[in-house]
Amino acid sequence: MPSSVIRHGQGLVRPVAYPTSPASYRPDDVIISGYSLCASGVELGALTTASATYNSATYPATNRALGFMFTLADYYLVRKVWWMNGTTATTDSADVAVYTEDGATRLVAAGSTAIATASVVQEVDVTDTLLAPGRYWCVYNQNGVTATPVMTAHSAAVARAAGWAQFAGAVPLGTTFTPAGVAAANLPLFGIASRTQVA
Amino acid sequence: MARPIGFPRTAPPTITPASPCAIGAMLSSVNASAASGASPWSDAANTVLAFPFVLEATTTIYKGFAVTGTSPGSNFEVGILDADYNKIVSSGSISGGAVASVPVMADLTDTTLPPSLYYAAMSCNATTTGRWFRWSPTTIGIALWMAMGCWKQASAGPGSFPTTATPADMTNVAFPLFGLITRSVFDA
Repeated sequence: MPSSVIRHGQGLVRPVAYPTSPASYRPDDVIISGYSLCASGVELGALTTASATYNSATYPATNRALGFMFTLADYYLVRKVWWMNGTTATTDSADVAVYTEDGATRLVAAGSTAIATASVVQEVDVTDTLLAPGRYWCVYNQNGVTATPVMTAHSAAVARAAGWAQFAGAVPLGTTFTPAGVAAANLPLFGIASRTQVA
Repeated sequence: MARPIGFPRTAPPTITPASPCAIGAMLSSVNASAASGASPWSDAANTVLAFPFVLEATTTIYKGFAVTGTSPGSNFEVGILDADYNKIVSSGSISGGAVASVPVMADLTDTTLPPSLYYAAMSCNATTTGRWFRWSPTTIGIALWMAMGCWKQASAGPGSFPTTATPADMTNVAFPLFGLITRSVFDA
């Protein structure tokens, strides 16, 4: 028997001639962050031990936009964007935006939003935006380093291997995203939500 | 509203052992971590090390890469094999450069792969400690890698990537952080 047939029988090869099996279908997460299965959650967990816990920490640099790539296996309605404030949530403003895979088009964004209230998930209502299955960037930026968002201390090398990127951004984020290699540790906790209440 | 049964999920932007389409879930569940570390990435120079990955959707591979440790150098090669261990594409010998803790790119002929099982493989011509970021789950041991479908082939260094590999059991507990780039605008 050809080995390819054996592998199909073992479930190792998807039968491409048939629709995706409902048994293998997994809906996208209702809230997506860089630590989601459809983003880099598995990668970050497999590259760094649980000691890389979430902590309020100094943002790497003023206007250093940081983004992760996520993949949608189904249509996804973006209703809110959010980030997690740390122990200092004053002075600076932040923005979260979603861009196309090539970074050429900003699809939805919060706009400039004052960071407020320590140690909470800060959520911002956005224009409901339907994303088709595919890959996208989700990007966070803050225009100062006074506010100390919740971040994980993953190294720059780990962030790059997991698909993260950075660029010199602004608040509000611009209409395009030109990714470059992550230069320093610390990845903020932020993302999008398809329900009207994030947390 | 009736939910469609979904679409094949696009591959992640980087495919490494840590990816969900590779062995990332298993590595995560055993609390493994990758770092430069104080032991070599392999027990012998010119050893090919490979990990399995599965593509749900047709995917184009643009580059390979390996992440340097604290003592970068030597040459390496990254390639892709099919489920029968036949080479699909490889980079040829690439300089590991001199910059610590960064992904070093190994350009590949743009290669579009249909959904299936594949192996990503890497070799290097030195075992110098600190050469590459690597996992080294010493409390679990070598068997962990074999239980996840990884394998090695000896005597096939950079520039001598096997046309058809002959997989053998791994003999070293370490495994390097390397992988493939599936996006064209930006690598890593």
